[in-house]
Amino acid sequence: MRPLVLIAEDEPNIVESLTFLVERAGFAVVSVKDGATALQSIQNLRPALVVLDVMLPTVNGFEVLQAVKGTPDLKDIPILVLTARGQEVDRQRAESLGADAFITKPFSNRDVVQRVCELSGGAPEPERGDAR
Amino acid sequence: MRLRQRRRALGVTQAGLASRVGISASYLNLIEHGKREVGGSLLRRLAEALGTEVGALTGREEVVLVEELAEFVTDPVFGGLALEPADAQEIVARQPDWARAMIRLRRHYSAAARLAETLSQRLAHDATLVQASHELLTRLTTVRSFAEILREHEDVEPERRTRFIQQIAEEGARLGDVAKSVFERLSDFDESLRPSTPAEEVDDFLVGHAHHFPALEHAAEPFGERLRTTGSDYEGMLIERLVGRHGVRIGTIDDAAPWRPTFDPVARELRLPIGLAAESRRFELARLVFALEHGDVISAFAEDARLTTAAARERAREVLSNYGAGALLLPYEHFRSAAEAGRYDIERLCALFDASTEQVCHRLVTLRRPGAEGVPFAFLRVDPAGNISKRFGLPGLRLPRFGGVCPLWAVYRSFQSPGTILAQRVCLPDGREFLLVARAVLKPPRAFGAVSQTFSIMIACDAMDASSTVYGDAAAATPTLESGINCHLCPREHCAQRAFPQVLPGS
Repeated sequence: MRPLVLIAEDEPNIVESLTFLVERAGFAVVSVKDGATALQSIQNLRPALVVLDVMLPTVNGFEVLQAVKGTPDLKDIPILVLTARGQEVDRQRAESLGADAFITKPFSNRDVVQRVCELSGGAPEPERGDAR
Repeated sequence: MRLRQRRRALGVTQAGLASRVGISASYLNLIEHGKREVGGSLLRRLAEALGTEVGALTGREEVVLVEELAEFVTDPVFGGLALEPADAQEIVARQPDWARAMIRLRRHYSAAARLAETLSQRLAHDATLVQASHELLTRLTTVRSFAEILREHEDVEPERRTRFIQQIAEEGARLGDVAKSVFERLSDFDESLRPSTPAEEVDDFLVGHAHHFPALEHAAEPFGERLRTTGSDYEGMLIERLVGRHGVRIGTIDDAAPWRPTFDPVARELRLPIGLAAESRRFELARLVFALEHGDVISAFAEDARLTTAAARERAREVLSNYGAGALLLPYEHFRSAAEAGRYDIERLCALFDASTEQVCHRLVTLRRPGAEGVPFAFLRVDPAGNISKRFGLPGLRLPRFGGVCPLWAVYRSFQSPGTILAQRVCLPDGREFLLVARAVLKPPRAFGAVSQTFSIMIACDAMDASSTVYGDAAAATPTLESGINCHLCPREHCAQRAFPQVLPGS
């Protein structure tokens, strides 16, 4: 069974490109568009990794991060924080809230895939030429 | 004093000039070397004898130049250079144009430094730019990611490939729009690149005229006298003048928000906000009457070489119209003698003339008619944040344009007891003492929850003149405050209220 990556991002085009990349790297992908749904899905699905954008509607990314890392049976789920706000203060805030990694937009596809593989505990067999 | 310079330029001897104006040559010598003050009719006679204006002799501009130069050498940018404030006098005397050039350069530099700070603040906090930069990055992310996918994955199925390419095109177009709006926003900042602001130029202009405009006083006299002698319904008479002689309609603005009256010159309608205080209504009516009837005199002043931009000239015209309104409502001699007789009791003058604190205090500053001067006053208007919106200094009491004055001064303490007049005696580091008189005034909001306006108005005079005022005694009852003009220039290291370190010359 393919490990699950949850993508929490409200910009549809970014969701599409990330989904393509992460699926190609051998993962299953579920995507959500807001923080509240993200929290619910993490709780229900227990993904192998969460790619979390900071600027989410309803509940923002930092709040999601804080909630997940503060819940005993969820805190070990690795979280890769993705944001357009590249200021040092945001990086520090993410780190202090327990983010496992931090990537700023615009990102290189290679970087994202590499981090996803590293954080989720190893790349599964990459699938090529798989029509979807 | 430019007296000596002028006399020598004309080839007149000390003995010759002295006898023409009826004083001894030795006394004239003392005057020329600044050892004796001269004013009033003697000054006028000297000016006449030398074929010039009083203002050209007193060289008030030179005094200000010396002070500004002395302050300017304390700027940290000169750290490491041994610049002595005391040399300022000599530099101004020998090379006034170089002094002016240095000051102008310093103003450019200060303005540039301030602009840089403002811009960086604006860039960080400007909502439009923050939003736009977020959008830019999001669009770029999509374009880059899709493009990289297309480049590196040759086996992307055709429909998906087409969709990605389409998205790249669309995002690219939106990128263009966002980038354009960012550049437009940034070019708004270009406006603030003026080195000498209109406010600074108008201040220089006012100082050059010693805040007194005989031509405007003269213009205001006939109608001003009529107003005074004919009765107590100033407002009625002003309205009648506007309507009858100038075909102006008076309307109202019923909105708690805008607090500025507006005049539409095409429709010839003056609209006053509802709830404007009576003295403010009168002032606005008088202002319009004066502007309509003496616009030519005002415009002539606004052509002054010190006003280099349209904005500066416009501001000068506003200020001069205000001056005219003051001259109409508070006629010179009548006001001056009442002020002197009442020992410059501001509250009494407000009551006598039905005028606001600011109108009275401003008028006091303008009482500089040669031979009929009032006590010389400095003027300062600040808001609760300490922003200075109007200022006029005195020799020895140069008021800064930015950054506020000493936090211990009455002008700020007055906010703690609005409406009450505070009197305070201060001693500056050079030993000069001044009497400060301040009052915080509140223009009440015109609806529940609407914004109200609060200012503190301060006038100040040399301690030597304190006994001519009712405030001198009150101020003497409390100890003299040892202070500086502001923290940067004050050497009193152990002041509990110190906000900034002192800037030492040469450090």
